[in-house]
Amino acid sequence: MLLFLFILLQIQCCRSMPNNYSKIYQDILNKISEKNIFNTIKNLQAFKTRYTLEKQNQVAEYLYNSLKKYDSLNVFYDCYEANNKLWKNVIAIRKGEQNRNKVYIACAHYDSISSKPFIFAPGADDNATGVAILLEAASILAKTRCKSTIKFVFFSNEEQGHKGSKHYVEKLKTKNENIKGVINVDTVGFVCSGLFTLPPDLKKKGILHKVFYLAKQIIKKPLFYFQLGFKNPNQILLVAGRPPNRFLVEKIYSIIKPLEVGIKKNVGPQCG
Amino acid sequence: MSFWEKDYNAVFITSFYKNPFIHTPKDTIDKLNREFLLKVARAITLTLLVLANE
Repeated sequence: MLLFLFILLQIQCCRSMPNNYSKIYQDILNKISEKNIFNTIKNLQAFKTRYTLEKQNQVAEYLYNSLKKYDSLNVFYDCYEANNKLWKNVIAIRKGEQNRNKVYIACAHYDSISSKPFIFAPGADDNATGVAILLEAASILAKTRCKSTIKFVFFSNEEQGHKGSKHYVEKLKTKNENIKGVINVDTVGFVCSGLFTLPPDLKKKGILHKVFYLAKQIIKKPLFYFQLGFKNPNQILLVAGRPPNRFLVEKIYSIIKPLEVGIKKNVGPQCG
Repeated sequence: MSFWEKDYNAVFITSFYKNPFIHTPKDTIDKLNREFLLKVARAITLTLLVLANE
């Protein structure tokens, strides 16, 4: 009888954690350092502005040196000309050990803007947060086995016409690489509620409709998305894609779901 | 996003629609939520880890 109860208990325990990742993945995630992320944001804010060529080049050098510490990353500048000046994107490639030609891109822009762009544009949220997270992810994945290739790309001049990313994508298109997916991280550190300006007919609707409305206003393209609520209803992350490529949005949800951070999915209305 | 314009399978991850200080001199580190940032960092790192090892 005791043996039966013991077995039953084991089965229940296993059922209660069906989605947990292996200990290896958990250990890797535990290495993510909040301190590192905040130090990077602090360092990026310390440039005062990341708007001018001079400042953006300084930031590019800071990123280059931060990534160059890891032997497994191939780090280099991707230079382009705009307004008769030479600007730099920063790229770090973690080559895959089995499927080198299968490539994922994780990207973030490192420049900033404000009403006083030449004097003070701290851009802590937009987008020191995205850069800091990808630097931390790169530092961890540099020391972790990866079957496929991951490219970490840090763009200049996003706030001045997306020049850095446009240059990179145009060049990429000519290379015929097998890009399986792109994850662009932009402004992910602020939590607050009640700050939306919404049309009256949307005020009574749920948060999902509000998020969708605002995302559409800003991105101005048909999209689909899901919203991740991290237990606290004000902690909402938007993961947006464009038709017909719904696959990656769904894939990310399925990957993140088992994390023990109270994530729940609300699939937004499909549009376009 | 430049990748969407060229039809890459790309996603945009953000919470920027919530921050009233974006593009102002008030977008500073003291207004960020450490707990949330750490969760996002875990989510993105795990995503890359899983995708790169499929």
